[in-house]
Amino acid sequence: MTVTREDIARQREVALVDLVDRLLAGGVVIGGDLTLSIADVDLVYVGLRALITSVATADEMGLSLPPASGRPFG
Amino acid sequence: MDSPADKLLNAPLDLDPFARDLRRLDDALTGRVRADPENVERGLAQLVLTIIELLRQIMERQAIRRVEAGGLDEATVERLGSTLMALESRMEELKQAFGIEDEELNLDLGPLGRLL
Amino acid sequence: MIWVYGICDRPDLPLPRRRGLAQAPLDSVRADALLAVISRHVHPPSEPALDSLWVHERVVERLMAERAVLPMRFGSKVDDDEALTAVLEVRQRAFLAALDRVRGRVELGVRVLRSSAGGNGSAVAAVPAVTPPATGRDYLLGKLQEGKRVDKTAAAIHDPLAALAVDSRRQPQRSADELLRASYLVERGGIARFRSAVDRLQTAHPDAAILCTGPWPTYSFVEDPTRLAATPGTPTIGAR
Repeated sequence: MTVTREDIARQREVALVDLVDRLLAGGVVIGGDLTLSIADVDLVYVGLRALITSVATADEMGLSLPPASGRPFG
Repeated sequence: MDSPADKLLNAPLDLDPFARDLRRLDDALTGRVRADPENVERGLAQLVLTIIELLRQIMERQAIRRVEAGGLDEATVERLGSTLMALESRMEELKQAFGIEDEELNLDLGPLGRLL
Repeated sequence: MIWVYGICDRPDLPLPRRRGLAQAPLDSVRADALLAVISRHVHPPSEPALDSLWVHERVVERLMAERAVLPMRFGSKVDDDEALTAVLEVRQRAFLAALDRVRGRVELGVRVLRSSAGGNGSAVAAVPAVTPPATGRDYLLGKLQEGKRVDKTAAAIHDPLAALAVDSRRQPQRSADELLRASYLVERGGIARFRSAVDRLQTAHPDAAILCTGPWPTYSFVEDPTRLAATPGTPTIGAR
């Protein structure tokens, strides 16, 4: 069965969803985080940096986005 | 070096539903959400409806647990059920009126996960 | 400022040559048996693109190839070496214990959505339509039964997988057509067996579409479970 470009794009998207879930909500947290409590709900732990870093430009990072070519990430 | 697609160990044929989250994430990441008046109003409606929906779901879950636990008389069960049923259908009307889909009501709070 | 990728053991090993964010070389800060792997930046990287997530991830995975790693949440930054050393020293015992828990192990993710009966994920139906409830009582009982059906399917898939894992974390369902969302801590050597189990479960449940991803660094298993109970990372509204 031939795999189309669209298949690959979809696979990458799905992998990204799982990655982002983990990167932004999991992992060890250090520094600058708040613990909030909201009425009737247990203490909820908020990672401020993770929230702030969810908006994008590549420029600040000095990264240029490679064109979608299907090449493996190197 | 392997590619992101290699992360899929077992996958169904149709991946669209599993990638749905990404559309909203991508919008946020590329700053595609604009602040024109129509969007702002819609955003507010989305927020308000999400909160109402959250409360509705909490109440419904509580009611279901109480029914499951037993000890409620028939009249109470009926009253609870009718009210919740009416609430659910009212929510549907509101969503349709604002042209908002179920998925949009599920606000993404980052590390907190989805609201609903 | 300092961007942190992970906290590792084996401080004796040389750092990988792979670059980190913004092409910065990797560096490290050591405290006894712990090593924090970092990159140094003059301008704080504040708004990353999707690609930078993968760059970060690749660094963590590269470290994982030869060490036990506690992956950092994306965006973990400190001002300087002193700040980082202080964190490592204060939380040393917890970090060492966490490293013991994840050494030689990876995280596998599982998501299960409803699927139209008979299809292998060929179409995902919304909550199955039922005849409208006649009474309030019917409405509630219908919801109760639906909830039990979902629980039953979720458990039928989760339990056997959890039995193959060292540890697991279930999250509350996030949408009406989601049946299960969980992470499993699995020995590296146990991945193939886990995948076979997923295949078998998929065949046994044509009404569900099962996705398994990984191997990931152990993002979901770095916090002490007892600490997790006190300060959950996910909301507990109605969670079962």
